[in-house]
Formats: sequence, C-alpha cells, structure tokens
Amino acid sequence: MATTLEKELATYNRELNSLKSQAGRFVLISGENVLSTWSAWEDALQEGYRLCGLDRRFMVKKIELYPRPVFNSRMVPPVCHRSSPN
Amino acid sequence: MPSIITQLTPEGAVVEALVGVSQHRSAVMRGLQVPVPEPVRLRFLVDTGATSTNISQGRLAGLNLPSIGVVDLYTASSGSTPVQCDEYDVSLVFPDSVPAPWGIASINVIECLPLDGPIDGLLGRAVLSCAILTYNPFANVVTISF
Repeated sequence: MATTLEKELATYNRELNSLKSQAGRFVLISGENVLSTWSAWEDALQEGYRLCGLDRRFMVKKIELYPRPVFNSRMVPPVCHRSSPN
Repeated sequence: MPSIITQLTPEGAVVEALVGVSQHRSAVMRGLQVPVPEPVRLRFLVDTGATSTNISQGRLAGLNLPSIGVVDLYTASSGSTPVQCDEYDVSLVFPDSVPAPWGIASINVIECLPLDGPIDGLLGRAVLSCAILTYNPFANVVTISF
C-alpha cells in the first residue's frame, strides 16, 4: 500500500525536530513546505482545502515525537509495503 | 439521543453507513462547480479493538479522494512492523439511526487491505468515542447511542 504522500511524509520527517515544540498539534504540509500548524485536525483539513483546493496535494499529520500506535485488530493478508522499522 | 440498534450477527455487530466526501472537500467542490460524488453505502463491523475507522482498499474508489494523511497501522498479522496506510477525509452518515439519521461531517479514515468476511470496514474508537455502546446479551442486541 504505497502512499502518494511520500514527499509530504519526507518533509514531515525532515522537519520533525523543528516541530517538536508543537507536539500534539496538527501540521499541514504540501510538497516540501510546512504551511501551518493547528490545534484541531478538522481546522488543518479546512485550511488545506482553502490553500490547495482540489489540485494540490496536502497532508495533515499529528505532530508526535513518539507516535501512538494505531491498531486494527482484524487479520489482514501479508502486506506489500511496510514502513521502515526505524 | 440518536441511536443505532443492531442485532448481533455471526460476524459481530454490523452497522451500515453512507460514506461520502467530507464537508470541507464538498464545499470546495461546490464552489468550483465540480460534481460531488454520491456517498457509498458500506457495512462496518463495530470494533472496539480498532483505533480508527478502517475501510477496505477500493471501497472508496467511487469518491475519487486523494489521500490526506499516512499512518503506521499495526494489525493482527503485521507483527511488530506496522503497515503504512493512507488516510482519507470523509463524511459518515448512519441512515438507520433512530429517531433520525446521524452523521459526522468530516472524519479521517484509514484505507486498509481487504478485510475478511462480508464487511467493508471497521467502525473503530475514533467514532465510538462519541457514543455509548451497550450490549444486551439477552436480546442479542447492540445499541450505539450518540
């Protein structure tokens, strides 16, 4: 399940150190640019559509130094794409 | 308070929801006079073990959504290495809620690999955290009250 947001994810990982003082907020990223941070996911989403419309890709991500695990308790087939272990 | 009352099935507690374009995306589409896709009706297994709402790969194709996020998802078969999955912003409406349909205008859902059984997704704690979940074992009924 390769993501289409590889560039935005790379930007997030690159900028995480500078964003760490805002842990818990939601960052809005488009391409290689950090656009803004928001206290609520929905506000970041709304701003993403306002700035990027339907044509430019954007990502909304919670700023987490130690990401909380996200679980799906059901069995799924072996994966075709795994994230890096580090 | 709006409630979904569902009989427990061999698959578990299953509810139907209309999954559509999120309120924020549809507002932009209407502003640009782009047709907003019709919501799709999907079957969700109520799953208190799922952090977020998950939807099987391909079920959202008709909505033509771009991904707006990425999460590392741990599943029952992923072991200690998570699966990287895309997130999408959608609206959820539960048409069978009484006394009236109840919904969420914008929520993020995770697209996962196809789930086993006749279900399209998992209704996880991101939605259930807005509700009181009651299981009546004598009537074999699950009630979700929002």
